[in-house]
Formats: sequence, C-alpha cells, structure tokens
Amino acid sequence: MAEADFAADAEHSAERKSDRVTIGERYVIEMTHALPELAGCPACVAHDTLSAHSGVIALAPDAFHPVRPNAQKMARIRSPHLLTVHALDEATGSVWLICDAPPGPALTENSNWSEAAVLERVIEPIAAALHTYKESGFTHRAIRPDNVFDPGGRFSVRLGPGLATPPAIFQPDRFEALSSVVCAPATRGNGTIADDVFSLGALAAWLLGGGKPYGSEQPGALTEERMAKGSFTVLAGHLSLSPDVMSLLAAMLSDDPSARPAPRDLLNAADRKGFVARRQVVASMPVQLGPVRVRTARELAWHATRYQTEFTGLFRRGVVERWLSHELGLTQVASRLSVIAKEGAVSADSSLSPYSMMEIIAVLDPFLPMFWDGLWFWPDAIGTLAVAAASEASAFPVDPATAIVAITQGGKLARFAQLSGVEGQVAACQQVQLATRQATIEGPSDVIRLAYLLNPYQACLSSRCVEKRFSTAWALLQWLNAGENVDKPGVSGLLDPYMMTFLFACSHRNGLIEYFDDIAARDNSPWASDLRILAKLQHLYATGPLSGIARQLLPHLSPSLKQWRSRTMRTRRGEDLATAADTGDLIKMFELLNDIKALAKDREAWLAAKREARTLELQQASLTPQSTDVPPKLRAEMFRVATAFGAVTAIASLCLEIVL
Amino acid sequence: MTSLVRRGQPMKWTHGLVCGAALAWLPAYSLLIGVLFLPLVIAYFTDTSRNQDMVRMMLPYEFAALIHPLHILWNDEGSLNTTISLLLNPMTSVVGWLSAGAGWFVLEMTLISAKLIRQYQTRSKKAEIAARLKEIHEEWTENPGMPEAS
Repeated sequence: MAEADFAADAEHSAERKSDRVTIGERYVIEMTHALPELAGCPACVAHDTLSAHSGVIALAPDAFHPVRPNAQKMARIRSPHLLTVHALDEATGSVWLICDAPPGPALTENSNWSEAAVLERVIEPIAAALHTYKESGFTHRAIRPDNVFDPGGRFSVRLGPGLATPPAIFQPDRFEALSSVVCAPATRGNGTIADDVFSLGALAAWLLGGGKPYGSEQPGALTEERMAKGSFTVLAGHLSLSPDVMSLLAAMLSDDPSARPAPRDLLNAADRKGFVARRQVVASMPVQLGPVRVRTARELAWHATRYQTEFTGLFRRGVVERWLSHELGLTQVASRLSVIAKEGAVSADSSLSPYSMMEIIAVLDPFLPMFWDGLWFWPDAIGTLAVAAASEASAFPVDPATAIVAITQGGKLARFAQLSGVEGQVAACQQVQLATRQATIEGPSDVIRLAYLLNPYQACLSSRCVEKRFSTAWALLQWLNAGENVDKPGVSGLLDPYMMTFLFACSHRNGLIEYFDDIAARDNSPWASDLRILAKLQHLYATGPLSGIARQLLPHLSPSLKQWRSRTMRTRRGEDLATAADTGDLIKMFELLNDIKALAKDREAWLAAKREARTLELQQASLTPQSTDVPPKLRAEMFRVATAFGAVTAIASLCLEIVL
Repeated sequence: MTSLVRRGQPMKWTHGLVCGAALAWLPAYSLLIGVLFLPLVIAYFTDTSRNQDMVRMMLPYEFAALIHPLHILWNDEGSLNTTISLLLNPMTSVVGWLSAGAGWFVLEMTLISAKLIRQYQTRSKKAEIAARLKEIHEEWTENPGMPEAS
C-alpha cells in the first residue's frame, strides 16, 4: 500500500510545487488562495473540475483542531439545509475537506430577524438537518451565528459543517447548554442531539434579541447566573416575544436535556404548536453553601465543586441529604448519597477524595459531565483534551495530562458511565478504556498517544511539522526523508516524542502493531532509538529505500558503533553502515548496530584480549634487570664447563707431550 | 683457617705426613709441584665460596701446564738441579701460574657470555610483549576519532 503511496506522491510533487493539490481526481485546491475561515477551520479556494458552476471550497483543519474521528461517516450526511461535505481526503498526506461554499454571509452579519423568519428560515431548516444527524447517530455541535449562512431572500439558512473541528470547541458560552459550558472548550465532547437543540434555541434567541455581538463575553461570565436562574431566563428572558415563541424557546433552552424537544418536533415549529417547558424543581428553602444560596440540585452540584470544603462539611453532617429529600423530594438521590457517605467515611479525612466527589456530582445531576479533581470533561473528549494538554496545558486549572492518567486508571470511567444519565457514555468510556490499554498509558507523557488513537485524523503535533498537518505515517516519513526536518535546539534525535507517538499510532491504526510498546524500546541514544523505530516502520510499511533519513541518521550513530570494542570490527561495521545508508536500507543499518550474536562474540574476544594483556603485563613486570644475573645453578654449571674445558686442556697437553 | 672450619673438614695430620714424606723421598717433584701450585694454594685460602669450586676448576689447567716440566724432570730422573733450573726459567713458572689465571679467565668468559645471552633473550622478549600489548591496546581501546563513513 505504502509503496504505491510513495510512488504516487512522486507524481504529486510537481503539483505540490505549484501549490495546487488535486483531490479524488476531481477537486483542485489552490493552496495559496486563502479564504476566510469557515466554522473555525482555515479555508482555501477550490474548483470542481467536473462541474464548473458548483461552488466548493477546501477546508484544511489545523493539527490542534482536527476533524472529528468519525468525519468520514459524517461527511455522508446529506441535507438540503447543510453545506455538503463532498470529500474527505488524506491522499496528499494531510486531511482536506471539500465542502460547499457558503451561499451567503454568516448570520453574524445580518441582524434583522422577525419571529416568523427565525421560525421558518432558521429553526425549521436546521431542525431538519439535525433530524438527519440524529437519524445517523451523530451530533453537529457547531451551531452558532458564524457557522450558519443566509442566502438571502426567502431561502432557508444553511448550516456549516460540524465535522471540521472538534465538537463545540469554538462554541461561545451562550450557545452551549450548561452541561457543556462548565467544561473547557476542548473537553465538551460529542454531546447529544439535545445539546444541538439547545444551541439552535440559543441561536434563535440571539437572532430575536437583535444579534448583538458576543465576542467580548468572557467565557464563564454567564454560568453562575444561568445556574441560578436557568439558561432560558438569562438568554431569552428579557425578550418581548409572542407567548408561543417564548414557550418554544423555553423548551429548547431548558437546562434539563430530556425536557428539550427533539429535532423532529421542531420540523413544524412555524405552526406554533404549544411547547410546554417542564419546570425544574426548585427548593423553597435554599441551602447556604459558602457565599451562595443554592436552590436546585444542579446548582448544588456545580457550586459543590467550587466550594469543596464547605460542601464537605454539609455533606458529612448529612445536611445535603436532608435538604435533597425534604426540599426537593429527591429521596432516591439522597439515599444514594448516604451510601457514598458511608463508603467515604471509611477513608475519612477532612476532604472528600476526587473519586467520591466524582460520584457525588454524578448522583446530584446525572446530566453533568464528569468532574475529576477540578476538571470538568466528557469522557469522549479525552482525545481532544490530550491535544489541548499538549498545546495549552496552562489554560486548565489542573495539569490535564496528570488528570487523564488518574481518570483512566481504576475503573473511574466505568463508574461515571454507570452513574451518568446521558446516553452513550458507557460506549464512550469503554472506547477510552480500550484506547488506554492499547496505548499503554503509564505516565503524563504517554497521554498524547490517546489523541492519535482516539482520532485517526489527528495530524502530527510535533512543533517541527505541525503546520504541514501530516495525518499519515508515509507523509511524515517522506518529509523526513526529504530532509526538511529542521533541528530544534534542545531536541536531540530525528524524531521528537510527538512524531514517534504519531508513527506508533499510525502503525497501530493500520493494524501493523497491537500495542504501542511493541515497537518502542529504550536505547542509549535518541538517534539509535529513532533508527530502531524507523527501521521497523520501513519494514512494516515496506516503504523501500529511505536514503534521506539514513543519511541524516548516519553521522549520529557513531556512539552506537562504540559498543563494538574491537577497532577492526568497528571500522568494518562503520563501512557497512555507510553502505547501507547509501542504499537507504534502515533495516540493514539497524541489524548492523544490533547484532547481538556478533556483539557477544566481540565481548568474548575483548575479555580474552584483556586477560592476555594482563598476563603480558605481568610477564613484562617480571623481566627486571636483575633477572639477567646468572643464577647460582647456572653459575655452578659454568664452573663445571670451565673444569671440563680444563680437563680437556690437560689431556691435550698430555697428548702433545707424548707426541712431541 | 676459617675456610677449613667452615668446610667442617679440618686439615688432617695425614696431609702433613704425606707432604713430609713427599718432600723426603721426591724433593724435586714436590718442589716443582709446590711452586707451580702456589696460585692454587693462594686461591684455596682466599676463595670464600663453600666448596672450593675455584680451586677444583683451576686444577686441570695447572695439570696441563705441569705436564711438560714434569716430563723434563722425569727424563732427568728427578734431580733437584733440574727442578731448580726449571724453576729459574721464568717461562716455566710464569706459564704454570698463568694457567691458573687462564682457568679463571675461561670461567669469567663463560659467565659473561651467559649473562650477555640472557640479556639478549630478555630484551627480545620484552620487545615482543610490548608489541603485542600495543596491538591489543590499539584494537580494543575506544577511539573517539574512529573512521566515520560519510
């Protein structure tokens, strides 16, 4: 597969140079011609080569705000009131969306709306689109004035795409339900269709209120008021509208998601059929929690997280349970709380554990998100949260990465799913748990793996290539091979942790590895471990020669060569390594450096040489000048030799005497 | 005397008797031998080594030098006059005495040559070891400036 990709990309390169990309052999994207953002997503000019008149634009979701994990399926949703997404393509190595061009200006630029117009041209068409979403099992989560477009005249508005960015990440607070507002934008999650209905209601209320700019509103500014008075009162209470529309908005803006109408009920909203907003149970006697007087269970849950010490006091004394059962009639909730109180009493200290707190909040209001140690989030947003943890961790009250590690351990998610009243939480929590197991999360540094694992379109988050938006492993490998990798100070090695995790996740997604740790291993140098990983990827993806990468790695592998103690061996391996690098064979390079048998042999030879050297040194030390002295034994021998020689002389002398 | 005591073998009185008898019956021979063996007598008393190796070693050389004068004396039937004339001839006594020196010289030569041979052997062995050590060192020490393939 990947070989074909590499070959295909060589053809692409000519096009890439001229900043034109062809998608699906049909859409041509002019990368240099940028358009204003659509739905918070950067956009470019695009042409449809098959039908010149259809206006399309290309969306390029940036790495920190990737398209939603199930974007491919969501893109198939068709509705006349929705900007159609024609293609979602990764063939160029990064995600491109081809989407209908907006038919007119966004609603932010048009502020004159009558009740009838809102009902007929906004609520009904968007409700129809939402109905399609609901039927397909998805949520839109990006209904806000700058993502709804007005073609003008009597035409219905058209809703922009909801799949191009993480759910609700760019939603201003006033267009989000309370269960979503309490979370940071990155942790809002997919939500339910009821959240979309709320956004639609909030959009209608905003239009009817004259469309005042909301950009200056501080996040969280309205939350306390909305908690106390209800969202409808705060967002639409001041409007003077007909009673029918008021009751419609009251139902849509209800803080209880189960009380909001379904999109189907809104298809004929213009007929002004009576909507009855269910009234929330409000206590006549408030309970004093720190500086605030609390009247509802939801309010209590929210304030409990803000004034934890005061709440713990009330909870331990049983005030909360009594108030819930006497004032609100929530006897069931009260009895469940007493169970938690008994369990918590076992590990009694002054404050409640995060786990007990999480349970208490979920029992008090099952429609609120999970609360863990100062952090509100929906479990299905953990992937987005992991991205946010990498890019803007300081925006959170606690370190998100540490929190994610704590959350994913010990069945906390399963417990929340059990307590939550929002549908789909069990599946979402199971999915996160499965991903956690596969990603082998052991510490905060591993959390980023979840981002890639939970969203297949998550682009590589490495600061070196984040603007390239690589969402496929081969694209990143090719970029690395082209040598465009810029060395950042403080980062050693060819791959930084983000790239490594990205490559792991890609191979996991392609079914090449099952667990992250399958190809990870600790080496003494980052370059050596890069080689290990890249060699495995070269093998797994069958990419063919990667001489660019090999050449970049080669100069940094000399420390690894040092593990060979023999100089001859080192030189030979170095030469072999260079040859392998020239041919771009990372696997060969890796094998050359990690030949365990040869290493053992080398070590044995080294030990033998060491022994020999020691023996030789001992011998050398024993060869002192004294040892050249004649030993007594030899000296006696010499005496005997001299004596014998004397005897011979004597005999010779005797013979001479006789002869002469 | 110390050397005799050390040997644990005091000169027996029989030696004196033999010397006396020799002087009485063969005065010419005894005189000739006595004079020519003078270096041996001196060596006997001055050599401090344990078993008089030096004397024993010199003995055959002395014999070699003694054979010719003894032959002449034998031919003249052992007359004292011949002995005196032989002893008065400087050649006889000088050769006799030098022969003892020759013995010593031969010994020293062998000792020196042995020493030289050993020295040569040690030196070559040392060089061999040093060469091997250098080889091992070069082969097995970490070399930061290893050839880098490029």
